[in-house]
Amino acid sequence: MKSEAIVAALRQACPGVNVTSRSGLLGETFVVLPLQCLRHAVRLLFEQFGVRHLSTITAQDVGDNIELLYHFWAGEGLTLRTMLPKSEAHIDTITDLVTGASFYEREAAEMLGVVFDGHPDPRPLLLPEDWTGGAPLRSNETDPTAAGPTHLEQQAISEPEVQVTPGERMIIPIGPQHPLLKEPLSYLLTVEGERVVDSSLRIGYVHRGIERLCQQRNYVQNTYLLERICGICSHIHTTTYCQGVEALLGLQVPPRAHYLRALMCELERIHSHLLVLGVLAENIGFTTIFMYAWRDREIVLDIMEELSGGRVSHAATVIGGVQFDLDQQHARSILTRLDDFEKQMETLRNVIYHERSFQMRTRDLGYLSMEQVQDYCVVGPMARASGVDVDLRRDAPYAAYRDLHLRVVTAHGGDVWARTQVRVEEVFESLHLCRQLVEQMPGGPVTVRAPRRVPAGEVVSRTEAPRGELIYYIRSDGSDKPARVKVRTPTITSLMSLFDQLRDISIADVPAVIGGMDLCIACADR
Amino acid sequence: MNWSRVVRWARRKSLWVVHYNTGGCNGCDIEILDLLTPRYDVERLGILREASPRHADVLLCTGPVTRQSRDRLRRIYEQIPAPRWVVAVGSCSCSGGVFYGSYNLMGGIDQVLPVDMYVPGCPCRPEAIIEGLLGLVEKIE
Repeated sequence: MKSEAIVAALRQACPGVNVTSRSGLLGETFVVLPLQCLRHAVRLLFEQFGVRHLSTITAQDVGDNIELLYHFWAGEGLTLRTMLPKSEAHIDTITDLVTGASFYEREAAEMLGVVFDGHPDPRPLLLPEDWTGGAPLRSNETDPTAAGPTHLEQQAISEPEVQVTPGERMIIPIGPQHPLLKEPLSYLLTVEGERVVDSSLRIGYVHRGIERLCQQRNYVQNTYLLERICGICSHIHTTTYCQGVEALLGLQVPPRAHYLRALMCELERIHSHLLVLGVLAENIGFTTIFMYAWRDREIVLDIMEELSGGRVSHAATVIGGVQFDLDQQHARSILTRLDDFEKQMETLRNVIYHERSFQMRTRDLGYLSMEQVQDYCVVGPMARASGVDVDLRRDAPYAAYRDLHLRVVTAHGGDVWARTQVRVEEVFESLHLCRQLVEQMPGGPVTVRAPRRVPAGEVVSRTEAPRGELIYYIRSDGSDKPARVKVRTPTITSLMSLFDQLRDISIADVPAVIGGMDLCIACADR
Repeated sequence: MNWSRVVRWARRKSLWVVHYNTGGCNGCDIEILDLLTPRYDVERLGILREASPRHADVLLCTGPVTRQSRDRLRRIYEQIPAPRWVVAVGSCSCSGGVFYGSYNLMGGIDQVLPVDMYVPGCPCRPEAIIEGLLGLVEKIE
């Protein structure tokens, strides 16, 4: 196994210190390292093993110490764990080694009060500028809600106006309310004439503190709370969470439930990809494609509604299985409608592929090389469009994906056009998967009874959301409420690469780049 | 000719809407966007989604109000020329909903702005949002 080789190399590289490892649930290996060894270990992972993908950093409060977990993906899950005292929570940054660690370190800094020495941009990421309530995820800290609202009249709003500086440079604020944004976030674009030379980003407008709320509610309630992290990919959130909790419980989910979960996942992927195709088309002024894409999307929403009862939030996955079943007649009707949908989707593909103006607006825009994708740890269709062949449905199959035949779509352009192509082809691939799922679905029950109390333990659960790798870290202390739930959604990785994508493009192309990134700010802010 | 009657008639037939997500999960937002697309098509009722608050009559809010978006919400509301109306779409914009009790939330929209119409649902169906908007039209009359 690769992780065993890595652990052996780590032991060799850090002589005289205690490096222990154990394999955890869902194939994750946990390696415990002393603080001074961490940077060394990260460098070793890169240089010797080529492990470059940092999934996220989880910080958690464990009594007198703060624990940091660096979740890597090395073809299998590998977590480096280190501990630092609460009284002196200092650690060296690893952003010089992994550029993509930047946002994760900022989040750990504001949520747990850890100081990352040498971080290039230590501003808060999600909390508001006037936040005075302390680190929200530290226990035995004063109650963060006690911070109370500040008076509106005394508050200065921090979004700057349009500024012109002597060197003909102009700063243009976009957002938080702007026609090209469906959700609030704020960019500041520095332009020279029509050319964007610099940009900065502020998120956190939809930060709802879900990770803390999770600690206050029980496991069943959390299913419904976590579903509302995002309205577009709600099903994959519950599936990832329940998969983690089931692993902690040691629960065997019936195979039919796995198939139904995967069916919903694929329907959701189709709906999400069509949604973003429409939004991209609208952003570049191509309203016809927007209308076509959203009209066809209704077919998929109808199927999802018939299956689960909800168009957008489905409450389909529960701990121990799924909440609905599918009968023969219904399965046939789904297959017929998917055939109709495929015909309409082919028309849409023809329009997109053969319409020159669409390509002219999207080619060579928002370019990310394979190198940059790996630097920023970008995931999902964004990474696949730059030629990185990664898809957790194939690499770490969950639910029913083990039994399915799946082709991973990649492209090599690295621009908005390549991303569009990847998404269009993935819709067809998902259709293919849906048919396999309905046809091969085994019989039997769809749910098993799950106990309310979860034994103490921890788990890292990974799935492939429509936008890429979704990762949950769940720690249980043996009660009916989780001690820590950490969620890293795929959008946050794309946001880190935004600066590189916006540099040196014309300001008129900014909407196309943003549309092509498929941002979901509700996911990123949580 | 009674001009106020003409103005009222015009207002009733052309509700221009600006949409702002104050902290929601996207669920209601995509349903609002869905209203513009062929199946629901609210333009047939004279309802148009506007990009700028300065052109709008109605502020359609989704989601609970987070600390960060509270002042921006106020600012957007102040930019809408009077008379203006506020519609809270979704359970969390009505009351805080599933996120009730979080450290970063102010509660529902009515904690910050006067709300004229509440549309509950998590997320709201497009039909419910249309009904809410038509209810607002009746209220305007």
